[in-house]
Amino acid sequence: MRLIDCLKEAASALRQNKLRSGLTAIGVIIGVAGIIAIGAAEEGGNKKIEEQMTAMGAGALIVTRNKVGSEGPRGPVVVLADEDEKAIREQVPGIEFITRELDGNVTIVAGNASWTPEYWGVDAAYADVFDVRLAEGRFFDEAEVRSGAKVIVLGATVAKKLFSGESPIDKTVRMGGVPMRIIGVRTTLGFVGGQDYDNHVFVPITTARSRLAHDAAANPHQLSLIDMKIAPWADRDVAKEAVLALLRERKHSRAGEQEKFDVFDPTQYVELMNATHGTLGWLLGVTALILVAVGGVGIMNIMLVSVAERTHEIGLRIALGARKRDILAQFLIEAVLLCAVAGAVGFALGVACSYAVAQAAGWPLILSGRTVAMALLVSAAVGILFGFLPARRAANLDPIDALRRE
Amino acid sequence: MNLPGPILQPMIECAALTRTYDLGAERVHALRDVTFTVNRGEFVAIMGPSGSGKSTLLNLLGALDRPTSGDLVVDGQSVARMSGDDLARLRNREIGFVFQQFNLLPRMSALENVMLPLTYSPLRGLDRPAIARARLEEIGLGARIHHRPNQLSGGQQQRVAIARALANSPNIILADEPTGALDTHMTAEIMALFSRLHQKGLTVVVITHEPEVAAYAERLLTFRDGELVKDVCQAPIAVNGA
Repeated sequence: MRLIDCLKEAASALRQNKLRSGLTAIGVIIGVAGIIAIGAAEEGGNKKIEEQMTAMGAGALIVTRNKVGSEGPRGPVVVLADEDEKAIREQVPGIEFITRELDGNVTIVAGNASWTPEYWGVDAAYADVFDVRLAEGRFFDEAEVRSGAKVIVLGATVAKKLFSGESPIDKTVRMGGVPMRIIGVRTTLGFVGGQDYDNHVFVPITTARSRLAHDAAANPHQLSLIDMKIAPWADRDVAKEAVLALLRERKHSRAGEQEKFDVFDPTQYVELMNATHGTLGWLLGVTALILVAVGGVGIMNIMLVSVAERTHEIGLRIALGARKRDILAQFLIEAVLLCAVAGAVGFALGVACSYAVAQAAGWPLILSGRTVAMALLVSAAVGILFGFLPARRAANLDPIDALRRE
Repeated sequence: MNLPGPILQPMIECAALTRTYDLGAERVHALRDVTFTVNRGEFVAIMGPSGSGKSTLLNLLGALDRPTSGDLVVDGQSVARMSGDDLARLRNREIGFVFQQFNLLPRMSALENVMLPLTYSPLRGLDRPAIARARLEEIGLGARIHHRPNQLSGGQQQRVAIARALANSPNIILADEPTGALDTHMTAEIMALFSRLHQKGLTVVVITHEPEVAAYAERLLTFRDGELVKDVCQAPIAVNGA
């Protein structure tokens, strides 16, 4: 029997029991849709996480102040200052971008709305260190930092709280009484480790010092952090040791002693979070596979019923010259066709779901060949795997017995 | 008995054909040491009460079953030693089955039913719809090729089944109580059709328990308790040639 005849027979048999075929297919439809949706969520999510990871400092080093020892006999000791940044920039090799950072909290007022986020006073290089992406507008440049321009870039949460959906570009807000012009809005990063990563604003560090930081007058060169991006060709660990050594020398502290500063490498932390995400995707994937398998059992069940119902027909076909393999092929192809149609419907459903999820979560819709191949392969495998037993049962029927049965 | 002669060519040869079934402790001899030959072009009726072994014989002749012992040769091929695929090929190419209950597939049209044996043919490149249409036209159903079985009368259904049996141009027609589900008028019509096929040179074997059906055959084999008890030639009912 030729393949095309098998396909025609199978289609005709399935059409004969439209409702039953449809109901049986639901399990596989949902399973395949699940695989597609999870695959797309995984990959779209990965894209998003990549962005979050760089935003959190994957591939960067962050020099922090330790609380210990920061209170000297004559008030707060300046632990990090502009000179430290300059020294690192000039003496440590392998640093691609470096920025000073001075942080604090400030209330921002726009019309009737007000909101108190963190402000991060930084150099223009911050955008390069953490690969800042903007939903609209632009980041400030070196000239604006030098001149202490009254410009501000909003995090997505701040923009939403103050402008609820309207474009805030070129609008003016009052920040601790100082009017500031909005020049950009950062893309949504979402919650990372339970923390809203969009609840901050960027201002030039010079502006933060002169207008916002209350203790800046006493310590005009004070810094909260120094952030740097290590060049791709350089070794992060070597760079980290070099920064540590330089700062120890500058601060006259010895290794092992409780240090006034630390060099934090967020990469490992960020990778750990990503691994958790990967495990979750894996678990969901297994769940979808189980769903498909349950759907497959349904298909096997209905194929067994179909074989039992058509016992007489099978006997007749054998009498008319069908070989075992013809009967096997006929029922196997029927199961595979059912799965293929279910797989196609599930595919469409999965793409629709993925699109909706991607829209809601704000990540790109990515359907990789891997996901699509996986879905197709799984539905075909289910058809063959779960169709085989009923088909073999049909092929092994005794034609004399089968013909006697009605 | 048939006289040996140059034109007599054996089509079915049964030699000490035996078929037993093991039913637990009991051993049933469905067919016991049966020997006979049917020559090409003969019209044979096989009669006997139920349990006489005629169904077992039909299954063997139709290559649906293998003998326990003895040999069965169909058109020079020994069935006892054939593989499953060879048996399937034999059923497909050499034998046309006609059943009591017609056994048409209800979801298919007459044409599709007749095409069924052609789909299992090992021959490639057959124009299957054309062959099936020609077979249906030969038996006078050319106008009903797209009817489904439930749109046809019993006699018409059996004629479709005969067209199906003829689809692959077999040498042998094996009919199992072909008129058992038909009234007297239809019976005559169907039996006349078999007679005409016989006149065209086909070997026809009809299993029946009705003497009026057996009367169309030129030779009558009678079975009882699994044994061939009578083998006589007779003058068949005259049927006008097609």
